[in-house]
Amino acid sequence: MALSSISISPRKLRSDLYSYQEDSNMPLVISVLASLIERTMTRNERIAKNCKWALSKDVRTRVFDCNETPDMTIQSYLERIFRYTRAGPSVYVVAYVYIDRFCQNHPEFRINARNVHRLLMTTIMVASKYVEDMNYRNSYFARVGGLTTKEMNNLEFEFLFMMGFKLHVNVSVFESYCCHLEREVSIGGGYHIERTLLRCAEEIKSKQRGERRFSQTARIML
Amino acid sequence: MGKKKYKPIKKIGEGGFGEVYKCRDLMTKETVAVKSIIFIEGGGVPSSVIREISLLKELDHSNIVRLLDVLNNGASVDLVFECLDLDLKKFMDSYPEIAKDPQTIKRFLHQILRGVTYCHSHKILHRDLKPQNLLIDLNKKIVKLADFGLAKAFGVPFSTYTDNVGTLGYRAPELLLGYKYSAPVDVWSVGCIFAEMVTQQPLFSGTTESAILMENFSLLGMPNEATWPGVTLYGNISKMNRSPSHARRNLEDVVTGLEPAGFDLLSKMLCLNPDRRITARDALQHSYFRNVAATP
Repeated sequence: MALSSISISPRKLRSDLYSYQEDSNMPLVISVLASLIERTMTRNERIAKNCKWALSKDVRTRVFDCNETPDMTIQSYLERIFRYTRAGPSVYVVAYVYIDRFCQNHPEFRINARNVHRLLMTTIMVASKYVEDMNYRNSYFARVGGLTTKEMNNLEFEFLFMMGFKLHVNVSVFESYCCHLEREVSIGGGYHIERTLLRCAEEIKSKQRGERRFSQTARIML
Repeated sequence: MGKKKYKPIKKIGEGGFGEVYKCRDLMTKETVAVKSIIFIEGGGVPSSVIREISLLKELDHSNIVRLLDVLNNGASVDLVFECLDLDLKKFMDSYPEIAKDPQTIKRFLHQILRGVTYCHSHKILHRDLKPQNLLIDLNKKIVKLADFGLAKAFGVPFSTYTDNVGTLGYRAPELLLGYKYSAPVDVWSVGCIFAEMVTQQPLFSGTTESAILMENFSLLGMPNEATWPGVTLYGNISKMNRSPSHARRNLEDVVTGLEPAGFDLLSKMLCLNPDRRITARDALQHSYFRNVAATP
């Protein structure tokens, strides 16, 4: 995905969401979401340095923690998910709504490098089941995300009950989150996204060169 | 099955998802229906369960079944619903005389449309309306929409659309033709249910999509660009124009004994063109319901 092929604009984001074709390039929402989450993590890391209590005390939310911090950028991880699941752009907006709700429901939970990958994988899979009519099984999502099927099932189950199954996203909520993502693109966010893309450009190119067959199991063991 | 909270009385149904038990709530002594969900290996929580729970948590209406509780059993889920007596199909089979009564039909249809209007106003499609998914409280004479496993929020754009929703005999022509669809699919299903309540027979009984389409067209006429702009772009139509046609029937001859206002409403609900089909909200305002008994 060459940088030049991406027009970073609110209009592009909106057209991705409402007139997305399955054979289209990587939708802009992925870069915007990566940018937002990276910024949240940076803020959380700063807080964690200053406050000892910033670590999650909620044992249930620790299900998202990995033993080791995965060596993969959020942008690359989201692109991998997109490449193998072909979930439509609105799935990522709904996943973002879920992440926001989850953080509101569990104020002590902080997104960080250890939990972000599992949280993203879980919310995207659940959002896909909610939004789309055709879905892959959990075992497939697990392979894409570098998890075992048992881990994936457990993450989904825990997430659903921690959310109290409050997964409905109505039109006005969806629209308001789209507007938030659009603002991220237009108000200075574009620079941040561009940096994220530049940083990942080489990684993406090398990944595309060395990419194996579609169904190959993920090597990122979370 | 949440054994600490609910005591099973008897099994009242089963399906691809698992089993349904009539149970007693040990705290409130209330009778409830508990749907036990069996997960497919490697599939996780079925999308139908995710949708049913999340949508029913949003819907609060006297003509929609109430989800009372969701139980976490470690690796499975039990859904606890209010318990109703029977579904509309069983009601028509068990109480044919009451079911055929014009006032009962009118009252039930009005309630079904109220439930559908409420769903549509919340931008939710049911997509599987049929007599088996309409539950009845015999005492209060209330009908409630149930089984939201195929339901969908239709305001959020999505890329994978399936037209394989609903039961064949109640499936709208735009679904059978592979059109993009929306709220009118539910109104078509309610129209089919309305006709079935009057005649005590399913209106369309074909066993394949093309057979159902042929029945649709033989009863309601072959659509064309004038009656349904864009319909001729769909391959199935041109094939059907060339195939030996079904004997032409008239809706009036098939659905007999319905007052003129009722027949007018039925015709508007069974309009082939979804853009011209009456909405659930407008159907409630139809003159057929001018003297309907107040519903709860």
